[in-house]
Amino acid sequence: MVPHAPCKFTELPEDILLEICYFLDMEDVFSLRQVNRRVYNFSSTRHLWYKFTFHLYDRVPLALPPFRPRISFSAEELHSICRHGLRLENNWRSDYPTPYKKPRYLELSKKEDGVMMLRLLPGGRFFLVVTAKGELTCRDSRDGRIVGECIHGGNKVHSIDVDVVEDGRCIILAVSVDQPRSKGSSNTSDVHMVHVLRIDIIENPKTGPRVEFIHIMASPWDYPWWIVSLEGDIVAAYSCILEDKPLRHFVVWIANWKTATAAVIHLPQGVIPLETWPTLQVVGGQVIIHEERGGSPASIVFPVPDTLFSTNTVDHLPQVKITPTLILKGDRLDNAYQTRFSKIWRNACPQSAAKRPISLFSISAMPDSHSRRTIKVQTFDPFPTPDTTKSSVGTSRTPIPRSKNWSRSAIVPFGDDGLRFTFCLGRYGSFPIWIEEDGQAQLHLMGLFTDQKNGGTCHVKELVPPEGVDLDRLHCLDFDDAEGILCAVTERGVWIVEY
Amino acid sequence: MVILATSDNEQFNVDKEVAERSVLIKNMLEGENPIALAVAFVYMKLNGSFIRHEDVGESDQSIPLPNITSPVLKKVLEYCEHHRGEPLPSGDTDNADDVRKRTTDISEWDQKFITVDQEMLFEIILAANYLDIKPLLDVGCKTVANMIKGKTPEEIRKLFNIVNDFTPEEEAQIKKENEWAEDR
Repeated sequence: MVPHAPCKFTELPEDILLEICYFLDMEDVFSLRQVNRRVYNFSSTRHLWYKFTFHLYDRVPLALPPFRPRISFSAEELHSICRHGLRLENNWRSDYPTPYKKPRYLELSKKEDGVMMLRLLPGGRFFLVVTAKGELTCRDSRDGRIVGECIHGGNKVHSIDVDVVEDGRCIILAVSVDQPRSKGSSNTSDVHMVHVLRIDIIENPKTGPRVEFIHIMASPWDYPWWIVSLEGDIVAAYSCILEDKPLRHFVVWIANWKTATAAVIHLPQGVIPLETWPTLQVVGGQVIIHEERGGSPASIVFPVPDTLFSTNTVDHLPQVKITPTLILKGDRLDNAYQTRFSKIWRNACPQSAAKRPISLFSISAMPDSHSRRTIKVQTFDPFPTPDTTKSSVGTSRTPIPRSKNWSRSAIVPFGDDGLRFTFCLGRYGSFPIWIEEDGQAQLHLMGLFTDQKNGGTCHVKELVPPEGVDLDRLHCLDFDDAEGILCAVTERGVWIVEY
Repeated sequence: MVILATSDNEQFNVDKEVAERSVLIKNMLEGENPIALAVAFVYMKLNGSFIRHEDVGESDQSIPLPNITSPVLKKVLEYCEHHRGEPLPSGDTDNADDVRKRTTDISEWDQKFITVDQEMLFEIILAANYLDIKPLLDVGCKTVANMIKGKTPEEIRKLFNIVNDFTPEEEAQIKKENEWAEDR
């Protein structure tokens, strides 16, 4: 008999050490790595970090560099992505999340005439700026330089959406615009288009990067496409006459840009009497339309039709009739609480987009007697099964996890021409950010952190505003919650803040 | 009945149903795993055992478990006895969603069962790994993970009596590359 050697932790075989690591929180793995050489060496395996990056860590979205398939990441890169995520989470968890680096202010090379929209491209290296005149430019977030301009022929942009597709290798942009008709046309009203474009980034070590917008497809219509949404291959937009109550001529355009096919969908009247300013989003192959009404929102969902029609062969797209599923019925519209603006997003954890619950961020249009508006976040299951819809017939809503429902009354700054877009959700919606005003007319930068580690509890945080930034001058915010980069536009420049 | 023989030459008479909580033994008894059979055979050869490998499936012959001592096997069998009849987990444990659902919760009985000294804990883990008893391996690994959670590197060293074999320069470097909650 060989005398039995005492068994020590560090002498466990590597596959067992790995098994143990999978039960640890990521921060514990970072501690464990520092104990001795053998543990350090085994915990440098790519397998471990791959598993944490793509399967185990779902508390904040991780900043995966775009244009890279999963398989291309090395162990060191994954380790550093995880470390960045943990650092960011730690910052959000603190009482006053603070910029990590000194913020940059970029003077815009061309004076922007009323910036209407701002969108950081995934990765945070470039951002899109839309002006009141409909100009759409792409800028480098290091120096503010224009690196590309999207010539879409329109004079007003209603909505843009961006998604990274093809396993991170390609960025697609959907933009809805109003376009004057060509001269000589008997019809003098604008034509309304959704354009789908591919954003190509061309690196040039000498002259710097250049961004090109490559046209893929477009859809003309008689009424504006108010909101576009893009997820993977699927683009959707809705159009209607917003002045009419209930909304008239409500149609949804759904397209697959990859196959250049599309359809126009008519929703039967009466399923949901949409009246205010619904929002629309493609998520997990389904289209959700949501109307925020204070206490009782209304939402419907329907799948992308199996059959779409080639846009190359037909002049007028066939109209498909679809009966959507009701998620939230909504009560009679009470004008006092109707909300003017709401946004949908998929919750944190980019790893399994289709299974994530849906959250709605909304700001009411009508203030209460103290000029306060309600900012609300609600989370629900976007794809009710027959079971949940059956049980909801009586109460007309699916069970909403209460811990994720959150509301706050705050003074939200409104400009002369309505709501200022000084709120944003983040690329993955894990950390909505907005500006609110206190009783002394002081502005504060606020964020809503959902603590996944503690059962999804919500905490409002005041963010330490970057030094030198006058919150009152900010027009638009956008935020990449994976990178922790906040982008904010003033009349003359852009602030880039890294948390 | 199945007879299991430990490295210290103790024999255990075990119900087939209990012994088959071990996927290794189950496959041996079913003759489905040529590798397990070959391993057993080679071991028996080395040991000068008179059993030929075609006899392994016979119930009156003992299955040698060269990596396991009798106190450890006794514990492992206690676990198998308690959990007899429960469905065996499916082989697909790499499923991403299963992984995400993993918690470090341990049932009350298992918790009590695994309250042993560190050496025994690691022996149970090694035995569960060797015998391929996934639920027991999980209980062991979860227990170790729970011991590590929330501790600093120095506390982990102390916990497991690990010698810090880094040079001061290496240690500083590694601390730097694994620091995520920097003071600012």
